[in-house]
Amino acid sequence: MMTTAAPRTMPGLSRTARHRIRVAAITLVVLAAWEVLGRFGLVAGGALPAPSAILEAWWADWEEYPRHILATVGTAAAGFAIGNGVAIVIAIATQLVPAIDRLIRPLVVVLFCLPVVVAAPILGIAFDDPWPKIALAVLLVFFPTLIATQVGLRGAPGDAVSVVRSAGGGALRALFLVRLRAAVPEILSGLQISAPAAVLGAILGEFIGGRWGLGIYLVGSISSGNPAIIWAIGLTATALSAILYGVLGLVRLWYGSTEKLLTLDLPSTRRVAGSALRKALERVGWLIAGLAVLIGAWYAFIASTGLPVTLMNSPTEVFNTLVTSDRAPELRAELGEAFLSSLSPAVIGSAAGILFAFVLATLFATFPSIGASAMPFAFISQTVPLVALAPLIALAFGRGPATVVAVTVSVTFFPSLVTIMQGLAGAPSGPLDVLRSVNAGRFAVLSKVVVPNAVPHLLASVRLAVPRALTGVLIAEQLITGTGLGGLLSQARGYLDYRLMWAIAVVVAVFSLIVYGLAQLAEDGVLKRRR
Amino acid sequence: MTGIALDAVTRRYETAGGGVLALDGIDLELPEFSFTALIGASGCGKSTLLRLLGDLDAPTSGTVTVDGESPSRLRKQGRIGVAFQDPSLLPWRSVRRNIALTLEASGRRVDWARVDELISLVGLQGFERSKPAQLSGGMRQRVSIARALVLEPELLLLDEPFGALDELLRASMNLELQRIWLERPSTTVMVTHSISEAVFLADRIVVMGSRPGRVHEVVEVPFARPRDSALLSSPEFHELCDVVSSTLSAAITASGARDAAALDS
Repeated sequence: MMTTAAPRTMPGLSRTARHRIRVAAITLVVLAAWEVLGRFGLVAGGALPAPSAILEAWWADWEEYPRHILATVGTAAAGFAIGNGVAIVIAIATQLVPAIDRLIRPLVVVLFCLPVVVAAPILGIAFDDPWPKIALAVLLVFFPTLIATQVGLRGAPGDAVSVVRSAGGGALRALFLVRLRAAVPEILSGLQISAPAAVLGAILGEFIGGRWGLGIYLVGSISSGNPAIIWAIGLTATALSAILYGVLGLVRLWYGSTEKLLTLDLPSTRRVAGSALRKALERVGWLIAGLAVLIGAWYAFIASTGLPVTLMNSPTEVFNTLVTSDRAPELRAELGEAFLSSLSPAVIGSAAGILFAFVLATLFATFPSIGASAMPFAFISQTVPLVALAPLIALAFGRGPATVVAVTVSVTFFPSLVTIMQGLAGAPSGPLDVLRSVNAGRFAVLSKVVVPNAVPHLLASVRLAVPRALTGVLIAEQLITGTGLGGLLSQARGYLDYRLMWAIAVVVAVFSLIVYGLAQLAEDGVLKRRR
Repeated sequence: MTGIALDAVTRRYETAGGGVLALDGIDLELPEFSFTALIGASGCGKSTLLRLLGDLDAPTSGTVTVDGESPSRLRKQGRIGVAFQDPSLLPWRSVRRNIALTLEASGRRVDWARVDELISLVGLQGFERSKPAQLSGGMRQRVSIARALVLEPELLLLDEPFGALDELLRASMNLELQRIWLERPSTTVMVTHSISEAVFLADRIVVMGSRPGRVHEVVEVPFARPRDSALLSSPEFHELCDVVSSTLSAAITASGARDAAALDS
């Protein structure tokens, strides 16, 4: 980053010690202010309870917690193990046989884009408890680790791979002698990011039902209307995520790798030789093959459950529901209305979240001393199971549309902040030095090098925010307002209307795929012009 | 036949703005156990040529043979050794295990006695257990060369192995390389930017022109081996350096490539 302010001398204390003292002081001030605000019910008519009240609520119910925590940890651990295992194996397979990567890409993107809320009821039908919850955790864990491992395997020192190859080694030898070991830092980062994701998946899965788990506990206590109780559960879930994130962070530190910044980019496709027409045809060919794999996976999923198509709709069943059946016109109207009503909070919320993140990240980049102290918090913010904390946000924003927007802002803001900060921090040092050597001002450095360098990150954060925003909107609607697609989904579950559930899932998945694809195209366009 | 034979070799790359002809109609014959230096402006395709010999890349047209066989066959049998400008050592492996890497990669049993013998050949005794991060640049490059030699390759390919070293260190590494090469002769091709390095080490210098990459002229180097540092200050040495230098200038002028761009890899 840019220059850091020269430290003022404070005799007898190291820099880190002073930094810690400052952080502790700020934390104490914030806690004190929070206590005052809470005690006097100054925020949203008492929606924000004082820390002491939260502690009291926690203490009053402390006997309840261990079983809920254990249940959530168990589900998260199973999802973590399965999701990461599968992700790493698939990443290795795609490294050895690049065609696999292209074939499964549509499937992988759909699994990433499919908001867990719409997947949850389907998994609830497909599997017996506790597998739906574990499956949700697997879904959330899979993508980050897959991408991290792929990036790590691909990023192995190229010359070292050449040395192995020129000595007669094949792809397998290159994998075992160089790539796997070189990818360990990325794999560890993937595992670290996926630990809170597993907790989030477990909690969202527990919203479906069951007896034990922090998710079910949280949903169950919404009706109590006691903010302190809801906060106590929410903070427990947050602490659990943060602890797991921290433990894996220690493993990474012990291994000696620094914080790897993952932008969650899908590795770019190899350039193909030949005319533009041939390239286009080849691309379309791969896309068709990939879609075939996707649909095949859909049928395989149905077959694996052994359930009838009335419960487990196939693509043709969904087509019937939406297009040819008697119900179709009425259903389409209903879906369309719900979709539009969900769309505006999703758009407003994610736009506001990303914009806010961009402004704050730019501020941090302009004033590096603030940025340096904010970076750890930005990273920790990733561990907060925000989507699951919709009930907390509802306390402050009431039961109206404002809550839906607020949830969406909160779930898009923090991840975007981290991604954009990485982009701003990653400005090339050469041009920065050049500008510094001609004594360019902060604004010039920012507008000429730092911000342009972060444009791909900004676009990536849009792409990655879409599924999160939809998940946020649907959760808020389902748990709090009962409107839009989330409300419709609740209804479908209430009436055991499986066709409607599938229709909603497909509509939402297709929509987020389209937005994801558009964002990806914009990103590719920007990156291409830079080559 | 023995040695290296390139017959009408071209290599074309597809890029966003159409194709780039990296190599065009390369015809070369290099005898067995010869030492050849490839020299030319950036972007003349000399590294590409080296990669073709090592089967790390394939020609678009034309044939490459080494001792009458395809480079691919040689590579798969572990009969090629390579060293790059970047020593590209594995940071998690010790010196010994880094040298053993190519043996493992070619599927042979690691003969630790031979690894240790090579360590002393390249003058790294006492550093067997060190990690790359603890070594100087010159020492890392010695490891990289030992790693290439441990296979006892028939074909040794060196891509600016001393390009990142300072002038003095480079001169002493050149002496070392000559000593090692005389002890373990193999057909060697070395890409370099340094005219004096080329003249000091090679039997013949292939001067290349760019856009498209092609052979401009081959300069023979008559000096007997072993060559010592006294040669470096002899008039004959400087005369030959001047010849190579003007040939290189002519090649560059002919290419009109003073602005020679990328594609050095």
